[in-house]
Amino acid sequence: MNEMADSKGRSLAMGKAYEEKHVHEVYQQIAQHFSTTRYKAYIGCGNGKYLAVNPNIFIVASDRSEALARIAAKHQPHSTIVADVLNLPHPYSFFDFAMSIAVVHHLSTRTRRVQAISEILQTLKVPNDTDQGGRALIYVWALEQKTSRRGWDKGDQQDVMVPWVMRGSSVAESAGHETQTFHRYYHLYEENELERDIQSAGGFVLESGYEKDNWWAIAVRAPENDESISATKLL
Amino acid sequence: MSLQKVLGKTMQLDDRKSSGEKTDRLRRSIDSATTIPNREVDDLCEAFVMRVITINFITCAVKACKASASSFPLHFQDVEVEQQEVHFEPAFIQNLLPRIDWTGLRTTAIELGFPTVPDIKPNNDTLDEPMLRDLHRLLLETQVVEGKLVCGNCGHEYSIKDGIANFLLPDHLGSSPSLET
Ligand SMILES: [Zn+2]
Repeated sequence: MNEMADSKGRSLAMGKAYEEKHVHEVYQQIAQHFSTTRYKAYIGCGNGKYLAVNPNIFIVASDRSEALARIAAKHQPHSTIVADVLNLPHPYSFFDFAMSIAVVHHLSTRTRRVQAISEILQTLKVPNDTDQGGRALIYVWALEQKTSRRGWDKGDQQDVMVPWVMRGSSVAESAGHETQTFHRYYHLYEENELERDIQSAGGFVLESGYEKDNWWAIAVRAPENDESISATKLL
Repeated sequence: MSLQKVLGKTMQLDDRKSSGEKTDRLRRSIDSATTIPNREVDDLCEAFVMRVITINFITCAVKACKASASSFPLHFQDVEVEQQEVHFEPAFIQNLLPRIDWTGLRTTAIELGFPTVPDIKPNNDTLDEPMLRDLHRLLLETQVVEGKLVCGNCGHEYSIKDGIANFLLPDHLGSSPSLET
């Protein structure tokens, strides 16, 4: 498997001097904090205790916003981090599946959107003879949504600021304004645009479609012009 | 898992996100819960956690570091660790095992004071229940609540606060194209 090869590659580069610096010294530095280690059994609160919905899947969820990451942590109690889609903290050629929901459309230039897609694709396992590779599901808002209350449609301006009204109701908030309006940037994708961006990002679209005001696509890394595939095979 | 199921899930998630009011309500309830002075209540029902297994799936966010072996795994520093009981599912650990970078896990385990991880990754013949329970305890039940993750290549420090690690990079380290090509 790829990751076995990966771990072989890594273990070759590691060694005694490496462990001395990064294991033992670090261990010394953190040893004092073990006294604060707490051991707990949580009783009666389901959140977190029953991890697995499906024992074949482990999910690492990330979001640029810490507040949203915390919400995700409540709903998918596997692991949640705060990260930027342009600089994801995951090893390349690693995951079986990646999902990006309502993220790419918040990037404001095509270059950035293509780079975000490329960054997502690069975390996927590369297809080879024994492995079909990782797949990514990418989901973006569509320009064509004339039945929605926003009412945009083909031919309209694609780069828009969408108001988002926040109603205050807690004691702290009612001391100030009752409602606050924020504007969020969206790039509304037109038909076939997501597929084009995926292609430019080095991906190959397996399946794509339209669902409820959104365009979606499932993609793999395109193996043709990928140097790492031969590197993987060599390992 | 079928793609249809994944899509089904996607729709639900999106519904939740597009409902600003609902999201807002959820966010505020979380904000207020995390500011309750009694940390015990907090711990019981608002458990945001950085499980040890996560570290095995993460590397430095700096692109130049990803090619370097010393960027993986990131190193724990100044950590506050908690044990939280998680329902034991042997199949989950068994399925996870092929995906684990064993050398990386051993490094992490030593940093967290877990000396019992064997030198060689167990296979189906050597994997018995005590070993599965040890791994369950280390990978899922051991959680880092506060501390830092440090890249062995560039030295950048990522903070962990209230069980959430933050991998956002300062401008000079991140890749952030601004010009159209
Ligand atoms: Zn680094």
